[in-house]
Amino acid sequence: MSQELGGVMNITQTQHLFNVDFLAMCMMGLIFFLGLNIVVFSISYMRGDSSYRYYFYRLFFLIISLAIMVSADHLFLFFLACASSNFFLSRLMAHKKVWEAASFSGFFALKNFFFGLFFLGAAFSILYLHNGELSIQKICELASDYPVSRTASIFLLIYAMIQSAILPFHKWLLSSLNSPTPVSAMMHAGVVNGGGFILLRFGPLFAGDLIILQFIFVVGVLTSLAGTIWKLMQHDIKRSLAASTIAQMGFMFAQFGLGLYSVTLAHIILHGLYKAFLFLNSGSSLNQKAYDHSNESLSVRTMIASATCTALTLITFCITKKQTPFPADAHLIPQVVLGVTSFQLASGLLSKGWKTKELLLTFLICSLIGGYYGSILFVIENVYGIGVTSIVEVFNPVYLLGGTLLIISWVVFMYGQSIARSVLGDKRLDQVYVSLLNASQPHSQSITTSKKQYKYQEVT
Amino acid sequence: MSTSTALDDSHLELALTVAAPDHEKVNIHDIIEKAWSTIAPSWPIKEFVASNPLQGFVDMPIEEALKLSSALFQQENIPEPIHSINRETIKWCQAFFDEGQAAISMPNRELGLYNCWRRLAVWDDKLHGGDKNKIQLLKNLTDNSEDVISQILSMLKIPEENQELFLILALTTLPGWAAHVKYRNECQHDYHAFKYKATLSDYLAARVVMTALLWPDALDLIHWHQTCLKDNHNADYMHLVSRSEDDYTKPLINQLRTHINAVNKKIGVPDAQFVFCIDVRSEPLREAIESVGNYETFGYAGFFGLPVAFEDRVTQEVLPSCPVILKSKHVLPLENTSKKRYSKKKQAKQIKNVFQGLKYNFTTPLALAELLGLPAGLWMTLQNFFPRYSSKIKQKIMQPAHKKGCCVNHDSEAIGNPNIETESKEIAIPFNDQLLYAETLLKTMGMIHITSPLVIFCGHGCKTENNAFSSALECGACGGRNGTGNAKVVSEILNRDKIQEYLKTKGITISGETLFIAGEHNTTTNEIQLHYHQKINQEKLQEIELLKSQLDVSRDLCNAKFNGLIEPKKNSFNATKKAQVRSSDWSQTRPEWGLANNAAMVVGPRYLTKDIDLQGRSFLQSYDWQHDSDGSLLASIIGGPVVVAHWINSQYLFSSLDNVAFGSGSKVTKNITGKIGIIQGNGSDLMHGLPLQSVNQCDKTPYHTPCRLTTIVYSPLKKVDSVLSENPSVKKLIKNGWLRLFCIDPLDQIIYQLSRKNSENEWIQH
Repeated sequence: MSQELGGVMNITQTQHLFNVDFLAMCMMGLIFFLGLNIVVFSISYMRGDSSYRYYFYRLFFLIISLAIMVSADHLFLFFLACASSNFFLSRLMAHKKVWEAASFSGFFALKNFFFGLFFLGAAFSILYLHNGELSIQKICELASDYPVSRTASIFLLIYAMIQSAILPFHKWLLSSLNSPTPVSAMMHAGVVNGGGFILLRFGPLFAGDLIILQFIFVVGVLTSLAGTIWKLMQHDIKRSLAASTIAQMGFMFAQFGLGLYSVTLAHIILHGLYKAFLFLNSGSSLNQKAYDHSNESLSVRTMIASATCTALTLITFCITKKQTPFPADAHLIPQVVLGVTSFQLASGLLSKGWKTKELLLTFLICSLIGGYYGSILFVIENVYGIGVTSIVEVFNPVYLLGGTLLIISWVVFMYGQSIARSVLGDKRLDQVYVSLLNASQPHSQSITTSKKQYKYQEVT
Repeated sequence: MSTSTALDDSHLELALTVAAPDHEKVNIHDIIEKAWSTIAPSWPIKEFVASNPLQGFVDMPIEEALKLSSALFQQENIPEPIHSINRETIKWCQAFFDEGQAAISMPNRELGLYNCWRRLAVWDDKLHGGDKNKIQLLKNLTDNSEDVISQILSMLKIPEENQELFLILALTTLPGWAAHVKYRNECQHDYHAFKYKATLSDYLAARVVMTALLWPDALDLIHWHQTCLKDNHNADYMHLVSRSEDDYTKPLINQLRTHINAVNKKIGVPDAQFVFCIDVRSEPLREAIESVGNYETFGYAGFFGLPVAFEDRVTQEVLPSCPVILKSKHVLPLENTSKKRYSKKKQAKQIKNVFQGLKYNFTTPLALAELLGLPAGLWMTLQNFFPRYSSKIKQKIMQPAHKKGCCVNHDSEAIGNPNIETESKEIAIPFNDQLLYAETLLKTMGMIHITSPLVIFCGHGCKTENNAFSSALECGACGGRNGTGNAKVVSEILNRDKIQEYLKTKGITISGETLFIAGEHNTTTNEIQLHYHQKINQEKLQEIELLKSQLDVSRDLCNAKFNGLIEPKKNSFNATKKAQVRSSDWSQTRPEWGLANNAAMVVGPRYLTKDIDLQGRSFLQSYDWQHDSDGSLLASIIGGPVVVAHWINSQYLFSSLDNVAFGSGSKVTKNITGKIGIIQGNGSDLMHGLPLQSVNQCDKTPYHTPCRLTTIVYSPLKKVDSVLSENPSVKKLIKNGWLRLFCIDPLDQIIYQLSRKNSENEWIQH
């Protein structure tokens, strides 16, 4: 009886409403930075729109809800903020209700969010009933009891996966592009990161649980691969960006699954900025042609030079991040990804022939990117602190496989397309192409199948 | 497929055994051709060419065409199964017609649309739903698309008399992609033919097979159309249109009437003469320029009569820079390729490629996003808060790599060399052609005695950021591109002594003092950038400097007028600043109004329209009937600029009458597919025509006043009459009410209008 009373009192207590720690500050910084940019962009972009004013109300409330969500400490407040951000996002997506396809996109996303919120509510109830605490901070400190906290973290994970459009909950994001461009920017840079944020916020709940982390890593890598291949197959700029977000969210999950919390946070922020820019800039995409890798070949000389560049990147990265190169733990995988990128960059720069001057320049560029990325991570890691520094000490097969997949997919795409073709055979390839193409289509009702069904005016 | 009943075996047998006899084959070919005639081509978004979306109906009076097109293109409720057929067609069209968005592209495209699709469709369970009969049908399709069409038509039991209509409906229920296929078959220029073929029957074959698979009772489509025709109670557009035409043209014609008697007040030797494009955006600037000094202006189609194309030596792209109704005869280098510039451009291209290679790849984009996050955020902020600076920075970085539009470098020795005979190879226009172009150009405008020290040929282009529709704002006479290249070439030609000598024999005198230079009219900010040799003498340089300062004044005046400011002197700088911000703002959806509100075209000398407030709504073509004894110059104006202006006018007219059916819809939710066109949101039919933001002030209030083009020719009636008799296609446009023609006869000073009533040239006096 007294316990219940305590619970009621807890709900009304205000001192634990917010927890503005480093994570919250980073996220708030990101949200307000993006929010401000997107509001300013929208002022002229949306001018003349018949729902101009409502658009800004909704955008304002979305930004506020997100800001509350990332700084909330109180379970109930957190839940409310999540729910309201989801609600306002779906309203923004269905910007013009008379346009049925857009209206459906909003509805479809909301349906997914409801499903997620149900699990979030369930997770929070478990956490509250088990710990008798409403403060997220305290819950995280108390986390110990496995079966209970694991159930809660599985539920949290489901919410996070829906929010971040992780396989198999990716469909809503692929179907979300009926929204005005700045809404897409906010969605892809701000809202979908919500999943990653929740994982980080409840990080300690996951920290000791290797099985869940491995699971997160596996879905992350799979999502990343699926998102990438879909992105490469898309024919319109926005869906290509959406698929790319799915890939990036998958990678973010993989980073979390490795226990690299601070790397995850860095990814959330950096990818958010990058993707918001790409969406806002999507009107310029006519002049950017996709690159044809099919006749790529490297001379041994260039390969050696590129490998040296890769080494330089990794060295500067490790120096600035104060880390050993090729560690036998989770840190290896971000290094692998960076290394592959550096190799690709160097070989691209050197591909059209090079002499000492070009080589030195490439050396410089590659060292700079390693040092730059390393220092960002170093700063975040040191301030963020709770980065559960390499809980994955021993390299296990799951992680090894994931990392290998990331390398192999790149190698095959760059240099093995013809081999893959001959191994699979034309027919099988056709079949794979069609099934991947169909899998990456948005929900059928969110496509405007007849011109006259597209509408821009609220009242005709 | 739960919605459609499975095909029974008798259907299948029919489909597979009906072998088309030879005479029937010819027949189906004709039917296909006829069906396609209802579809007007639509150009890719990169080279937006304004055209009449109802081009297929110009053979009938516009009133009837509007009724028919409303039944064909403007139906909101199309039969349910069409939705799923369209969805699959859109999916496959996006895949096949992609020009560089996808890094993993559709396999087998070299087989052509139909055969490529046929190979993949077998695996598409969204088409056959796992139904064995349907899979068998797909497997048994022949490789000849025309045969397949006739087989499917008989399988669907479409009666012979309805086959054409059925095919028409197959096209018009998804008009956007059909218009793109039509473009690929009939309008693409030779220099950059699409790699993968998609013939008219290819597209129709894929379309009808999908129809047969998803809607076995597709015969109902015919019935649906018949009911559409019956309850066609569309708003009477023509009423609205002719009223707004009168609002502008009636006062205009009355004012012109009073001007006929005005003698051409020669202002002595003008300090400079300008030749602008006929574009309606030139007119306000011309007026402003004339008001600030002793300047004379002319109007000529912005390609200045040069059927040229420009080649980018780095990308090896050849871009025609003349109206689409002409074929470009000469290919010139886009820029003079000094070695340094060439290698710089190459470098820039390679860096771009490296970036794309990292972006469109496995694994590397994951790190790329992290590496570019902060710079992207910074750049985004810069563009949002300081658009003018960001655009300047961008220009500085991009300048060596990418100069917008066509540009022949004037410093080049090759073109500056006075020795024409050897040079004609370099400039790629044979000497005789140069003479012909120069003579026609000057004679048409009536520039017979050129004494002015400076003659400026102004090509035009727009400067906008992040604007997929920017080519719709460029020069229509240059095929949706910047016309500065043409201006440079024409002034280069006219500066030549040998050309000038020759022109003298033809009665055109050019004073020794005269220098021809090229200008670039930036229609977004109304700035004019002059391009000239650095080596010219000091005196000329001073003249040019003076001219530049006057041009700044006229720019401000023109901008102020368009910003609707009452006190131009006080606020003119602000107006220009505002225009510059609009021009560099990446979030701006209305950087400029383009050719919105175009309504009339005046073919005649400038003094006729001087002091008349044309409100930037008129195309002005300079023409002097006295130098056109045989009417051939007028004939080429009627057949050229008038037709182009009519296309532009129709594009604006229909985009504003129904922005969903004939326009691209709002830019707010636009998406770009395959680097070729606009779609809305997640996916839609290819949108063709102008975006909402080009014709509307806001969602509800239009900006463009829908009206047909009124052409007013200042020339003896006899001459106009005979020209018209020789050009039946233009006459047909007028007779069917797509275009209006007035003639002001300088001899009897009466205004005539060509009547629509009968097929003869009947003129109504006004």
